[in-house]
Amino acid sequence: MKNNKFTLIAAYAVRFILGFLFLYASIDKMINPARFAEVVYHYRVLPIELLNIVAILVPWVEAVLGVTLLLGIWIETTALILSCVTLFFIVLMISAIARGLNIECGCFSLDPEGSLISWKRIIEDVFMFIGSLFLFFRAVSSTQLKR
Amino acid sequence: MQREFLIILSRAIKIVVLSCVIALVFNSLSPKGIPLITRYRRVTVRGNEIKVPIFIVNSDKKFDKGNRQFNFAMHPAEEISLNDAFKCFAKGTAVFIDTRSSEKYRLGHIPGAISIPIEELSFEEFSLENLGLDQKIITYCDGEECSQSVDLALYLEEAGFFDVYFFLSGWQEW
Repeated sequence: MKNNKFTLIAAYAVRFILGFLFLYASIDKMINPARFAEVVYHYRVLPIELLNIVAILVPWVEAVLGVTLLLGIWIETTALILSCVTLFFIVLMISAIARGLNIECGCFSLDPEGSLISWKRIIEDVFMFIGSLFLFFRAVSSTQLKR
Repeated sequence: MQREFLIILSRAIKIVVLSCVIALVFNSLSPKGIPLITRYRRVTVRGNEIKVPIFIVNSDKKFDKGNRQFNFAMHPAEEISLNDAFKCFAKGTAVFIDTRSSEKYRLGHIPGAISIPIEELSFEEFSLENLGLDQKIITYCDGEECSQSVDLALYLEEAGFFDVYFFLSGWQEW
């Protein structure tokens, strides 16, 4: 990937936007894991016993990814995990829509008036997925990985 | 290429492990921390036993950490048929709770039913102080596609009400 001025600025912008979004998305969920577990339950993909542990861990994975991205630590790794996570969210929402579920997204906040899953939410995640992949390939091509 | 892959993999593992450690420590210290394994109730609906999760925080007094059990009410909340619900309605022996939105309640409801739109309120936001714990309560929502009647019935049962039923077919069948 060419490392010209445009891609440099774009990479910074994408990094900060994604970092901020993931950090912001994690706050409500980490403060109120019981409520987030309930949101996860409505997707009906996990065994009931695992709802809590997922609701405890996922927000912190999002938060740590957001922080590492904002601080520019291990960008290629962070971007790769982010792209996996966003791809997973996309598949999850498409599967929920395909099953006719009209449920709360739980994407950015746990407000009961918050948005439901929709194609708009999926498109947002697709943009985040593309942004993560862009960061990953740019980081891999422009840096020498050191232990 | 293989070396780069291994570096990325090892870093990914470190990030995930770090996140999990922070999450578990935070959860154990937070007043809103939750049990690691989700608690659930077994409820029989139309002859099929289903698991209904209970989302409760560790600091909740109803959760007995010593025995890792909930201090449940005397009998589990259970489904009630249209016939039985109607008998209770006719005799005036039960309080009906409409869990649908306030808009739907305004458009029509079982006469005398109390409106507790649980999509608009959190469980902490309503009070049933004027009802005795032995009051027979029947919850309902739109029909079999909705779960608010079961959710509220289980919540009321956990709150100490002895005689709680959910009318699963709800407003549509009524």
